[in-house]
Amino acid sequence: MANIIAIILSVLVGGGVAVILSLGTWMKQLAKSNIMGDTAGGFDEFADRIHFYYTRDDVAVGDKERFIRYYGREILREKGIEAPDMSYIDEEFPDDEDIPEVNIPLFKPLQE
Amino acid sequence: MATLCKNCGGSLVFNPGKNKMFCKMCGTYFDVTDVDIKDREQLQKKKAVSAQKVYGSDDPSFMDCNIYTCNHCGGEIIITDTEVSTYCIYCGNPAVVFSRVAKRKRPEFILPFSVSRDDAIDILRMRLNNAFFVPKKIKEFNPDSVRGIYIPYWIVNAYHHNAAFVTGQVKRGKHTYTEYFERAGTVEFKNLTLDASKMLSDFLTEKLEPFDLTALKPFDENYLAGFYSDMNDLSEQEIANSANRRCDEMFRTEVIRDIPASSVRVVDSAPYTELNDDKIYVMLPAWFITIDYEGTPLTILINGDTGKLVGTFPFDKKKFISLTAAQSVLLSAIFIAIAYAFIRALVFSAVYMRGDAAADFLRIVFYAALPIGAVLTGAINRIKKFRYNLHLTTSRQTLRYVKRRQG
Repeated sequence: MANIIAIILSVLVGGGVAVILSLGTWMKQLAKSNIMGDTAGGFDEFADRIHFYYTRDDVAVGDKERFIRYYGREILREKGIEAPDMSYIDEEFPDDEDIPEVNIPLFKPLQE
Repeated sequence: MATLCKNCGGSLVFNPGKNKMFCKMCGTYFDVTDVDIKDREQLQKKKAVSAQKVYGSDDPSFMDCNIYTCNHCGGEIIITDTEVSTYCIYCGNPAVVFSRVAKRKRPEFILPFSVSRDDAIDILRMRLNNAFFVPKKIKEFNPDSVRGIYIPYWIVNAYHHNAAFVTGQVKRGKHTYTEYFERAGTVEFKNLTLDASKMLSDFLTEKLEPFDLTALKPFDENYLAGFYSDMNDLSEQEIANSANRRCDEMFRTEVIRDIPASSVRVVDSAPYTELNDDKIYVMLPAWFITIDYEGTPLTILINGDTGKLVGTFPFDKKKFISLTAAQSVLLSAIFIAIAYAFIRALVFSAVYMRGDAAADFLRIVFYAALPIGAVLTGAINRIKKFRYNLHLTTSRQTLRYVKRRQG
């Protein structure tokens, strides 16, 4: 009985590992084959380096709010910069909108 | 029609291969600066008029659009609020809406197409032929729907201030800990390119980069002849927002490189970007090729300057599944045998081993599982990336941007 269970588990685990490795291999090939030009200009193309004026390691997770509030907005205010609300433009694609059919004229014909 | 041949009166279009104006009728080439646009003042007076004004109809079944009269045949050309150059659907001649170029902010520079239409098609065809998983139907695409479009861009210099709260895994001795880091800093960004068209996704146009900005030419309407083009439709605030998003992304990437840990990610950041007053308005070239695949339109972009191709294609599912399944079956034989040996040893260790020996064995099993987990995570990330990129290529918003062009 124990042997049968061991065989069933081996098939599940060994088969699972084989599927994962195969999926990993072919997914890599698929991405290489079908995704073209997936690169954008990076930091090095537009800037030299970041001037870090404040760094702290191994901080508590609870420090986040204080850090973001002070170094995000208040330090700018101290420098006389009033940071506006830079909320991002929603980049969601409004795919629910209909595209007009190509053959239907968008305008009224000249002579009717 | 914007520019006429000095010799025969035929319409001129810009030829990217020769970097000259070309007359399709007599085959003569002219330098762009040698071609004078006749009746420029008169053309500038010609305005695109709202269709509602022309027809006086407020019928909701008709959408409002602008009508421009072709200077060559008198046909009515329908244009949107932002289009600057297009083709006349009746006589096929290129048309530049001069009043718009003159009355709205004029681009300072333009990067003329250096990749011709045929080159763009060849690039796509060659790349597709080498793409193992692209279905055959896509490889045999119809090259008719190819449009060269000048995309409006802002080139900006910016001061960026940011504060990033970061987390990562730090290994100390035998144990790994999750730690948090704080980084605040400033950076000067130079010559940042921002697409100035609302209809095009920034994520898509960013992939078109880089453009050779040293090859920019002073703007001349002649370069538009034979291509479609749009004007900037972003407000100052939208340009600032776009720059802020882009700078924040790059700041985050750079901070991640600075943190001495693994699996680093930014938990939160507070970006602020101030644009300098020296921003430049330019037009940059791109080819848009639309391919229909089983009812799904795919819009492929090709940088009109470098020939860089941007697009993601659906894959041949049968080929992918059969290859994955075949490899899985082959590997299964090996891994089932290994797993069987492990399970037997595990049972043995649970029954007969004591203390450290059993713990060491379990540690070996754990470390053997780590690379498998990494492969699985990698595969999942690639699936997500593939889906996202395919979404950009099949985006109906991009399709609308291209399809609204006439012809």
